[in-house]
Amino acid sequence: MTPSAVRRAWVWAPAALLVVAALAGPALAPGSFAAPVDLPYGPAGPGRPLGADYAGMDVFSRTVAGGQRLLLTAALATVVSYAVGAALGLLAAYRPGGIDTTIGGVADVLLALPAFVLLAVVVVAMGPGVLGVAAATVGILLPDVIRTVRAVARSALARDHVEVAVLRGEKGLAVLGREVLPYLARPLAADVPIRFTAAVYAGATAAFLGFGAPPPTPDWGLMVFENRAGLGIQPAAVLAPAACLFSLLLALSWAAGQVSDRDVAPHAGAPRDGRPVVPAPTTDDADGSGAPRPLAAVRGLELRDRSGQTVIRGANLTLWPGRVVALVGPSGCGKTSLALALLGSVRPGMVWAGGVAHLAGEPTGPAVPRRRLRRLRARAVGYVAQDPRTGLPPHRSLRRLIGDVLATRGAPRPQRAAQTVAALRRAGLDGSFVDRRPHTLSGGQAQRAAVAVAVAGRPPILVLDEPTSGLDPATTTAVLDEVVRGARRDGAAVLLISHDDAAVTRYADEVVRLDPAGVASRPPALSVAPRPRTEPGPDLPSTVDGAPPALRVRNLTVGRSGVGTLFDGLSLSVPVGGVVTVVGPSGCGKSTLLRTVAGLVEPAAGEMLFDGDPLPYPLASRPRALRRRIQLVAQNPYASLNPHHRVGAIIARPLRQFRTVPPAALADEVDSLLALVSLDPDLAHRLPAALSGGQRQRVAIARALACRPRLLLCDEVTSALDAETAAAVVDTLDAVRRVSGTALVVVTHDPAVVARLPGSPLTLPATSDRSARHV
Amino acid sequence: MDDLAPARPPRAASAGRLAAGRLLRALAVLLVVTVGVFTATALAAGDAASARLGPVADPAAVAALRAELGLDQPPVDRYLGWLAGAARGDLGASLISGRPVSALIADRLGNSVILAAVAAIVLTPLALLLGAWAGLRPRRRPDRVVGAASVVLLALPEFVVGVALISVFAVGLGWLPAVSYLPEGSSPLLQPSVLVLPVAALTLASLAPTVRLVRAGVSVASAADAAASARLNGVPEARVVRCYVLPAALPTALPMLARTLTYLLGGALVVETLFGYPGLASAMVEAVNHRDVPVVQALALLAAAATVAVNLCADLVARTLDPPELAR
Repeated sequence: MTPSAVRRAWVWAPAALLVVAALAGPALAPGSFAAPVDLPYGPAGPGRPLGADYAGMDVFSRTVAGGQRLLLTAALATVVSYAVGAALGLLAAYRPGGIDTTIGGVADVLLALPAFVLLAVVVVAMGPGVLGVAAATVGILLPDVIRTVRAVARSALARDHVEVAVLRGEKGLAVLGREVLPYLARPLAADVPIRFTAAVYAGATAAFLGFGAPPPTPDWGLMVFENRAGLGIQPAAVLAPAACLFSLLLALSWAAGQVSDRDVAPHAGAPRDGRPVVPAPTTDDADGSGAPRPLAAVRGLELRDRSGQTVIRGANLTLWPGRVVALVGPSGCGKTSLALALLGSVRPGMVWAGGVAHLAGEPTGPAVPRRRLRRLRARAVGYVAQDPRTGLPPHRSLRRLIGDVLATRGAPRPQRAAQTVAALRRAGLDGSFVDRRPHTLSGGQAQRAAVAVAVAGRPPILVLDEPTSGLDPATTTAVLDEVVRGARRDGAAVLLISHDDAAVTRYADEVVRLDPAGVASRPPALSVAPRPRTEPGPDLPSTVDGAPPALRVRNLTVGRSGVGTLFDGLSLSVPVGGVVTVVGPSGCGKSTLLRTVAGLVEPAAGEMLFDGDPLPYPLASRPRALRRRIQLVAQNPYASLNPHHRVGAIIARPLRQFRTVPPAALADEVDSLLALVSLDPDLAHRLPAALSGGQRQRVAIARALACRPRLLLCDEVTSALDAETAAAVVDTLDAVRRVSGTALVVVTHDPAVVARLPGSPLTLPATSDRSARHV
Repeated sequence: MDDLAPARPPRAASAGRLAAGRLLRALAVLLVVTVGVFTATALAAGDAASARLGPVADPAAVAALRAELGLDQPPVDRYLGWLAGAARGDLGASLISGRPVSALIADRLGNSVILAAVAAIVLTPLALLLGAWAGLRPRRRPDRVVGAASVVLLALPEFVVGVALISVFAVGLGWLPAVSYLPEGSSPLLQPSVLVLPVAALTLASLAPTVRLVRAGVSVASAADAAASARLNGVPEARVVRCYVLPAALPTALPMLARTLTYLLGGALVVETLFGYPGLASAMVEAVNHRDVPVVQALALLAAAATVAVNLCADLVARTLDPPELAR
């Protein structure tokens, strides 16, 4: 056992000791625990260290013996409620609609009676005794078990790898067993001790209320009830069983708390590193000459995570008035952490291990008091967080949100209304948005609202973390043009973190590249040159040999949930071994098109022909062989692989399912599939968590190819990847197409992806433009 | 990601429809509870007539009593009769004392409401304050102190807390009465000393889970991007807490807070029994131990109605506070 496993097990030592002692209690008791041995409330004496109780029975022996029944009842109730609750919870998650509602109703009905009232009703029905108490305890525990299991299973079922398995034609039990069940292990390991504690609690209370075994059974709860009238005469008769119960529950709930804490924060126990000293306010740039002084700088920054691993080493970054610095690098290299360090903030789970930072002439960092940092930021910084959906509180109107920062930046009250509208305009929103709340905005609008909050009051430093990731190219240009022009005019410094090469080349005066755990350096240029096209668009291998195209879609119309149509009369044709790229603004139905072809969305009208045969809806009506031949690679590589299965098992699963290769050849086939997507076969032994985003996406592609599909549907497969990785993944797809003759439909919003694939893209119009469209 | 969900402000009409739907669902749950309670107590629990007359009674007398009580009729008729009576406020008569159950409820409801209300009034602000205090300082000293205290309190069932309070404050120090005896017709408000220990026991037992809930909600909201970016934009901490953290934390904590409040109803069962407090809950325990079925039925129904009502209110309030929930 590793030291951490020993420490983990040690948490259970007190609880285990008490449980064992209580279980063995009746055997350990020195005297009789069910017959009078003395006068009522008789004094302590030899062999009776705690005296006698209300009926003259030996308190000590009864206390020693009084926990066994309680623990057995609680264990029985816990096991039964998990068996029933897990089955119901899984079923509810798997079958939304009637069954889910019914099971939810069962939970609601059980919750409608307060725990001890439920206990009372069940005891009246079944009579007092162990079975009645156990049944009532099951009723008390069941709703929470159902809800926990259902919530975990639902979130697992919503993950892309489940959808991929369903598309591949996996059966319900295989989906639940392989894709969902592994997610339950950890939450339940944390949940079981909590429920067991609750069961002990309920059982003890039932005994106290007289609902449990009848006297003279030794039982802690019952002993407290029986002897409470004699509390003044013989306190031990009440306090001894109460103390036993308290110690047992304390040990259990303490251990349960440790386990669930560990789940929430894996690094909770790690020691804190020493904090750096506050650097002097003046820095090396204080030479006082007429040269411009940097507005903010980081020197030699080193950040570690709690396990001591270096995340950023020796990073340098300087912001100058009126200049735009772009911070680029592969995903996960610490760009956001570096930007936050500049503002004196260290992300939870990170430790500032070295380096100095200053902001507007004052030092920042973890050693600077929060209040001083806050005042400094109020004066100097406008910040846009990465995710617009979570970066703004949903219920606060934009007027108030912008008003908050205007107030902190010292804008006089009468001017705030005008400045609010001005800030919205700079972010590309008009004045009508002042009373909107973030939850009523679309993703792109929310992103622009976050920019408006940051630029309000014209702070001298702007930190923009992926400010345009949800915007289409035209809006990106409009927003950044306005923001950068304003910043240059005011002499403000801008730090732009972006994956968008076009924006970086267009706006940055300086590009800082951050490599994983490496030194931020300035590359001479940053561009991923489009690969020269080997096949010009019109020369695609098409239906020249008379065979039908792999996929032909004619006049396809898909409704939007609610009103109207998402697209209307759409037609496209993908030749065997050919490729069609689909582009268009967000919300135009690109993904829906793929999901319609895959059989997940019902078409309202039109026809879809696959190798000349119509594609039926719903998915369940498609034969297995057809399901195998159409595969979908989902958008997010972090959700499309089950984190509990190793890469080799993930790729081997479709091979087993369709028996495409004999079992003996499985490992070789997995290796060759990994090689096909340019991955090292050694990765087969890794879990997805040990892979980078690009590697994961390749594994997802390899899993799709293991089905030997005729048609591969790729939904924004590069959107979570940085430019270099994205280019390599697209090249892999194109190579696969040419080697195996699989036709591709590639949905993307990235012009670089379009440029790397042959043919001209099919552009879907924005949803407002619902005219028929033919290609 | 394609942004398929139409972004538009929630309509008042949909909020009204949602409230109506919730109300209907609550009523349906209550109806199912009546079926469950009736089945469990009147049908499964054995025969009330032989229970009243004892095991050695004359069979003819038992049959006569069965006919008098209507026990010889089909179960569905008995249920419908009971439900119709309950709807009119006629909850039957106690098998032991022969008094109408509604008279018993009228006698004792006030005492129970006073106990639960005082406990809720003490508990709610205390839980909010402690939870927010700890949640805003995750993993620092206040959080650790509150966390450790709540682990200890979680391990203390009401009757253990109650016994400890009695042995210290009543038996040991003699400051407060050990038994909350009230003369007939007297109100606990006239004798506040009888309330102190029961309220303290109820509050202490319910405090820990409530504080944990509030703490979890506040610490999540305080670490969320919205609060973090407001802090990075220099918004003062007091305003971040008031305008960004609490509005996000409360809607998630409210339904669970309501569950804790309804738990007080169950906890009252123990506390009223321990202190001999003349409320509904101690009547319930006596009724269960004497298998006084009409009283158990009526009181279980009352507890279910109160629970469903509290949960419904909390749900609706949480949804008004958190409009994005509506859109889902």
